[in-house]
Order: sequence, then structure tokens, then C-alpha cells
Amino acid sequence: MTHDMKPDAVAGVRVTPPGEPVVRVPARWRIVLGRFAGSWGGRAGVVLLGGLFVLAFAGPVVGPWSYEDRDFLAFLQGPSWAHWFGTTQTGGDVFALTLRGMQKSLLIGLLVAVVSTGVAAVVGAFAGYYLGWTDRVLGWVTDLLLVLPAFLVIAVLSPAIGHGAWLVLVMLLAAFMWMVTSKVVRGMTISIKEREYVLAARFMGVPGYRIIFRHVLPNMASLLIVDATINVSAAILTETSLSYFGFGVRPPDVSLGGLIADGARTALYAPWTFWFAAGLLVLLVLAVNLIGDALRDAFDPTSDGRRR
Amino acid sequence: MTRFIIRRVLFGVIVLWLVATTVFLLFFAGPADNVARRLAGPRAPMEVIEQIKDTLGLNRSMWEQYASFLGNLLHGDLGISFISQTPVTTLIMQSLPGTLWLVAGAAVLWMAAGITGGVISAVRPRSVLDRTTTVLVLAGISLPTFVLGMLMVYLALSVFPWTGLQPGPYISPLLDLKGFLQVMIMPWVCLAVVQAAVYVRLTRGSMLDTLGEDYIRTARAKGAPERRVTYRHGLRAALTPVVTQFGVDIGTLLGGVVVTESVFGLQGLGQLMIRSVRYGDLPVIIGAAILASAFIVVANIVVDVAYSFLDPRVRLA
Repeated sequence: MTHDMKPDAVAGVRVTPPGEPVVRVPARWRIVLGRFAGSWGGRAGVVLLGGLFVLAFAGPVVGPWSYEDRDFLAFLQGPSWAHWFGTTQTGGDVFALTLRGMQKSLLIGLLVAVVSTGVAAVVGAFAGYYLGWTDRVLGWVTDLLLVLPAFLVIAVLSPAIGHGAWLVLVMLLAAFMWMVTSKVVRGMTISIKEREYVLAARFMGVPGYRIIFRHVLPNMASLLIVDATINVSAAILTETSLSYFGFGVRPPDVSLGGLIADGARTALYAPWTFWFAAGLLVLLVLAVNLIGDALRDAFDPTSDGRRR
Repeated sequence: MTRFIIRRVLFGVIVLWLVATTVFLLFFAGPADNVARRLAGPRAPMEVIEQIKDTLGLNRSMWEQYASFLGNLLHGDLGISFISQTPVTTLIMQSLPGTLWLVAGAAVLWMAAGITGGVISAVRPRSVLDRTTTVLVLAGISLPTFVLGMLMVYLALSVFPWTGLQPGPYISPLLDLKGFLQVMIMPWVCLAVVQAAVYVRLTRGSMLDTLGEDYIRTARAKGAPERRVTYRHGLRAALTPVVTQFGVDIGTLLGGVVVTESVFGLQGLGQLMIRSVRYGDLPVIIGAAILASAFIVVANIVVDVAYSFLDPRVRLA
């Protein structure tokens, strides 16, 4: 038995002696996927999110206008054949602008989730595995970041980002989102650390960082996947709120938050400037939440076929 | 108990000191010219920048600046706003009541709705009521605050104008109770809807876990009425994670309910923050940041003490 044995390999292994019919134990990921696909919310979420993805990235190719175009013959016009979602006060095409904003929100949401869950996993696992001073120092950093007012700090630092550097915004958002999960990961690491397979690896002389990445973290995959999904919607909501105040994604680039803020000024007499962006944002967050809920139920070992 | 509280308070002071140092480094580290330029704005002439360097003592060494920054902080002196030329403490005291009332009112609403909803769906899982609650919760957590807020403002102004509900700055309830309610009801509901969704979920999950515990079976076996089992034995222990979340939320929100305040034009700490960030009013930003952190630190201490009252298994050492 080598130390890099994968959990999937264990689940599919033949346990019957030769001569008897082979009994295959279904792999864990198959059970989880099956449960996920069997849930109403999971299916709806995937279809909805997939549809929004296609709309966000294929829509601009089909649509006649670019988000940078200004139609000087149509200011604040309602939806029509020329402008599917109408136009803004400055003649921008709402369809193109909204889809561009959705692209940004999707990308930012996914990236922030991956980065913040990754940081949470690494920090939590190292703190829990090594304990002692590593744990203490990482714990202080975690507590300090938990106490700092995230919105204010990001808002203050964001002008320093400059135009177009939205990746820095991703890092800032991720920097304030990993702390709670990292505490959970730390706790789980401390208990996993005492399991036989980790002890075996340790006595074989496998270095600590290798044990963490090969044995500790894969055993928390379910927690981390669910956490990342929840973080997607949290990141989208934070980013759009920041952009709503003009502290997130900046002009000339657009974000759903900025569009909603602009649209709010004209919403009463030109509802299309507001409702398309607001509606798509709500659908986007809803889709991610549906997937997150279904995933959590699917990973839950106590859930059975009767649930949902 | 006393020893525990003293230790937690000391730890809180250290965290606050770390926060103050971080904030100081964020804004004041770097060459004096850069800092002065940041304070004066990009178009300020050279004389103004020199003047700022003089009045703020930016020419002194980092250590001297840091010492005087901490010294002023200890005396409760947060400096004077660059924009309005009033002391930061005055500005904060003016904005505090709006935020306090907003959080207090909303907290009552969301705790009542959240715990009731959570208990109802946990006691009868998979019933129609439970499923309805789940759908409502999903809607609640998927609605961004600013979208919900704007929807409410729109409805109040164009569909239900006779209610008199309107967005506007905070009015003291002592001066004008009716005006106070007309301004506060919408922000209360808006904030509470989003929060309640989280609390229903938390209460339901925690309650389901608790009701599966051995001591619940014991309580039933000894013949305790179901009501007593649910509330006395179940809910009391199930509330522990809810209380943690509540403490963290109250602490965070008291530091400024940025989105809700600005959608409804309520003049609170969140609005003060947004304004000061927009105009680059550094002393106000620093004051608001430290106050917000202090709220969180205090809330955490209160939560830890509250644990011991709720869950008899928790012993404070």
C-alpha cells in the first residue's frame, strides 16, 4: 500500500475471493453525483447557471452592439429590435452592458471562491497539522482579519488598484473571505491527524506538507467543495455591493453592481435600465445557492434516497 | 469567571492595538510626500502639501508619528475631519444613533422570524411548512440587499404612498415618533429579511442535530411533555451556534450597515464611511475602522460569556 493511494481506488477495489461473482462497491463520487443529479434543486441550479453562462459569453457575440458602443440616436429608449434591452441615458446598449457585467461578476465570483477556499484549506491545515507556533501566528492573522472591517478596507484600497486590474480586486475580496472556513479546517485537521493512515505516512517519513496535500485535504473535499460554492455567491454579492458604490469594478469596465446603481437613478421612468441587471443578478445568486444546497445534501452521509 | 473575562478583555485590547497598527501602516507608511499627496488629493498645489506635512508632523520619524497616533487614540482623540473641520468623535456621535436604532430594530425582527421559522421546520422536517420555509429562505439569501431595498422604496413611493413610509435621514424618536417609524420601518424590514433567512437555516440545522442527541431521548423517556422537550431541552442547547452568529453579526453591523443605510438614505455610520472614503477624509476613515473593529471585539467577548449561561456543558476556565 503506497502512501499516495487515492480514496476512489479503495472504493472500487475487488474484495471477493476468486471464483465468486465480483461485487463492485460504487465509488463515493458516483453516489454523491447520483444524489446531486437526483435532487430537484441541483438540476435546476445547474441548468440555470449553465444558461446564464451561455448567455453571458455567447450573447455579446450574437448581439449587435458592444458594451463600449454609444448609440447617439437612441438615448434612454425602451427595448426594441435595435436594442434588445433598451438603451441607457448615454446611449449605451443595456443588453451588451448587462452581459459584460455578468461576465465580470461570474469570473470574479468563481475566482474569489477558488482562491479563498484554497487559502482557507492551506492555512487551516498547516495550523492544525503543525500546531505550536505555526498555529499561533496563523491564528493571530486569522483573528485580525476577522476583526478588520472588510468593506471599508477594500473600498479604501481599491482606488490604488487603478483601472482594469480587476484581478487585484479578486485578491482583496478573497483575502477577507477565508477566515471562518480556515478555523473549521484547522479543527478537522487536528482530528484527521490522529488517524492510522496519517500516522502510517508519518512513520514512513513522508514530509508534513506532503501529508497535508495528499492525505489531510483530500479527506475534507466535501467540506471544501460546498464552501467554495457558498463563497461564489458571497463573492458575487460583495463585489456587486462594492461596485454599486463605485469601489469595485470601475468604468470603463462594467459590473452588475455599477449598472444597478446607474439604473436606479432612471428606474422609475426607464425600468429597463434597472430590472434586467437586477433580475439577472438575483437569478445568478439563486442558481449558485441552489447548487450549493444540493451539493451539501449530496455529500451529507446521513442523507438517503428519501430526502428531497 | 472573573478571570476569564479579564483575560478576554486583555486579549481584546491586544487585538485592537493590532488593528490600530495595521490601519496606521495602511495609511501612513511610506514617504511623507506620498502620504501628504494622498491626503491632499491629486490636484493640490505644492504649498498645500507642504502645509499638510507640517500640521500633521509627517516630517517626523515613523516611530514618533506612531507614538503620537497611539497616544491620541488612548485619549479618545480621533483627530479632525479634513472636509468638515469637525472632530471625528463628534461626527461619529452624530451618525451612531441611526445605525444603533437600525440594528436594534432589525435584530428583534430577524431573531423572532429566524428562530420561529427554524424551530417550526426542524420539529416537522419535510412537511409542507418546512418546504415553504426552505423556499423562502432561498429567496431571502439570494436577494441582494440593494435590490430588495430599491424594490421596497419603489413600492412605498409609487404603489403605497398612503402609508407615509419613505427613505430619509434618521429622526430621533423623542422628537417625532411618527416620523421616526416612517423612516425606520423599511430599513428594519429590509435588513431583517436578509438576516432572517440565514438564521432560519442556522436554527433548523442546529435544532435537527440537537433533537437527535441522547439526552433528548432520555427526556422523552422520563415522560417530559413534548413542548418541554422541544423548548427547554432542545432549543436551549441548539441556540449556541445561533448566539455566536448573532454576536458576530451585531458587532459587524454596528460598525455600519453600509448598503441598507445608503439605499434608504439613513444617516448612519455606514453612510459616514462611504462619504469619507469618497472624499478621502482619512481621519474619519481611521476612526470608523477602529470603532467598527472595537464593536466586533466587544461582541465576541459578550458571546463567550453568554455561552456559559446557555449551555451548561461549557465551563469557562
